[in-house]
Amino acid sequence: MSEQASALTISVWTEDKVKELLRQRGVRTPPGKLLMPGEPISAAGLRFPLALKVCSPQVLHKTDVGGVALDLADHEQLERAAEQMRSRFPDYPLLLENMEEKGVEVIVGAVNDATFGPAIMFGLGGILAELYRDVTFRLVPVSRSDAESMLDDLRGKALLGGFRGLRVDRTALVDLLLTVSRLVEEWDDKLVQMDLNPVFARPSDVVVVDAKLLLRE
Amino acid sequence: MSEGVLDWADKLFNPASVALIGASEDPHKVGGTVFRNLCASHARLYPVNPKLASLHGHTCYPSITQVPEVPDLAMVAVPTGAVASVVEECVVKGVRLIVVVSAGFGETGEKGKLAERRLVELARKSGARILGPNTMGVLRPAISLDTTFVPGERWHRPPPGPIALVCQSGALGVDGAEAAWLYGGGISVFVTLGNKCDLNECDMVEALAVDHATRCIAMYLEGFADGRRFIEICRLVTPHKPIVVLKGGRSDAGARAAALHTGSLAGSDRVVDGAFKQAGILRAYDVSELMDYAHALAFGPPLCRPRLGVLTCAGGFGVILADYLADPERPVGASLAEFGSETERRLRQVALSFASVRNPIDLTGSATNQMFDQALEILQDDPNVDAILVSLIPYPPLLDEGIVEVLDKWRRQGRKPLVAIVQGQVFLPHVLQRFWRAGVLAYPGLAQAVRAVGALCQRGEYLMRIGGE
Repeated sequence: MSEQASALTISVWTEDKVKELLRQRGVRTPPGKLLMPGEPISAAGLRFPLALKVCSPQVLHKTDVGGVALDLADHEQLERAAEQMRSRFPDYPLLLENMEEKGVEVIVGAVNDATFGPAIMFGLGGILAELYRDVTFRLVPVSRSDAESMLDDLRGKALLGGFRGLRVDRTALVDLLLTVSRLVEEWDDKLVQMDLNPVFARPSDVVVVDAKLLLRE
Repeated sequence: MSEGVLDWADKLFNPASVALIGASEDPHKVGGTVFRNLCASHARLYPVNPKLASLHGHTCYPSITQVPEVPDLAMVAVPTGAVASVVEECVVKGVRLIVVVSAGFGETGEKGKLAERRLVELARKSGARILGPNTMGVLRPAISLDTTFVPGERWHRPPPGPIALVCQSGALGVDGAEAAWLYGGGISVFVTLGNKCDLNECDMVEALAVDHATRCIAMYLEGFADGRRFIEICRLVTPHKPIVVLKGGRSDAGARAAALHTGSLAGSDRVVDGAFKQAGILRAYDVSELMDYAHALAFGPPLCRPRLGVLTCAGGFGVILADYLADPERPVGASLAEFGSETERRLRQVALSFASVRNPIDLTGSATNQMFDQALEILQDDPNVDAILVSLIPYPPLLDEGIVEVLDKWRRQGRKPLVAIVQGQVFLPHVLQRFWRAGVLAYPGLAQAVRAVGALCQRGEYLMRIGGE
């Protein structure tokens, strides 16, 4: 699909907007706030280290264009990162968030398959997701047992089942998959693709750290 | 199930009368071979050819309209350009099911697809259904019905049996069906879908779900007429009847917009995989796998994480089988049983001193039919053994074909599923066939047997999973 055609028919939901929707459905996302262009940079209410990310429908892959600054340890580092990002993206809001404690990095996604229609994906996530390609799909709607079986489909399933003492809240992961399945059902034909990547799967919860969504509207 | 479904299926699977438009005297023409094959059936036959008075003792008719009854099934084997008018005549005659053998339609491009759509429009006027075009039709061994155009001497037709085989490609299906001859497992019905202009894989699953002769449905598909509907139908059928699918065209990633990770990770095949798992469809990756799985599922019980006793008369086969069962990269779903001490003590009394009585058991080249018999009895008594793999070779001089009766006895008397591995050209294929005729699962290789056990394990786990929902 050409950039032009997609601009006409497909809307890009920015990270803050997707996360807002997820929070409404009871999904955890990192505490944070959206800083509008020109708004003073303030970490009030948050705690270091922080992450700063540009939020714009024009910037789908933020990391590639210097739109992400992670592990900002104090006010000085935050000021410097914000200054650089504002000079690159003067017209776009910035999302300032707490850095979350890491867990097992997984990816949760959704596609509208040409043959089978809306489907959700689960797999090992992070920047190596496309290298390992350790992912599995199910058609929407997924049942709880479908979602549970997705966890056991992965070659690296041991990462979700106590490998080297790693503990993962499997129930929270399954709940997230069911929430995504319900969202996809509601979107129906409007869904193009969604990525929640990475999602940190931790001992007692699951937190969505980055999110992208393309809807046909 | 609606009446309409059963109507066409009954006419396809059990026609009392068949007309062949384009019947020919020439054995090298499609219409010649098809009619010759049809002659074996008990259906009333009506060859249609304006140039002939009779064919192989059957009166020939100049057109379908002059046939003295409305045949259950009309087969069309005329040149591409003449198909539409013949189909129209069939519709006027009141024929409910038309099988278009002729090729040269959708498989050739857009123009052919349009011509196909025109055939469907013609049939819709009367509610008739079309199989094909570009199809071999149907093989129903139980009633000696064969509408294919494979010459009699070129193909070992399978006996009647419990496996239904539905193939988009005819020749691939013929090859698959021949596996059911080799094993002797047998076929309930073999249907070639061809271009699927009307009847497609969804219709076939609906019909075969209620076909009493069919215990397992095996399919070769290259594409889906309606992917979501297929999955939804299969989901309703698989709890009662297993379905195995060989999906061709895995490497075609399709024209997907891959803006995000999820898109680029999807590739059409990954989604197929997930959809199949959801619907409880077992996936095969080549024709022999398709038929091996279908045989296992039609004749064997579902297994749930079984602990296997492995019985051999040569150490090497046991070692390889144990390796397969322990492979973490390709988990089978079964494991090697740990025998109780009583089992090893009793086995020691049966086997020679140098035999290995730990699992896998090696009865050595001195093995006899009787040793196998006694060992099988001991394994029946061990509560740590859920199922038994028996590796057989013709090299031990005291082991012979009598082993078929031994395994058959334990299949009937015993409580534990048995899978035999038959190797050695002196045993193949007739010992293999004797096993299947006796109802004992038997495979001509270690990997094949292990995969068949894996298929039964997948089936067992699926039934367990949906049972828990």
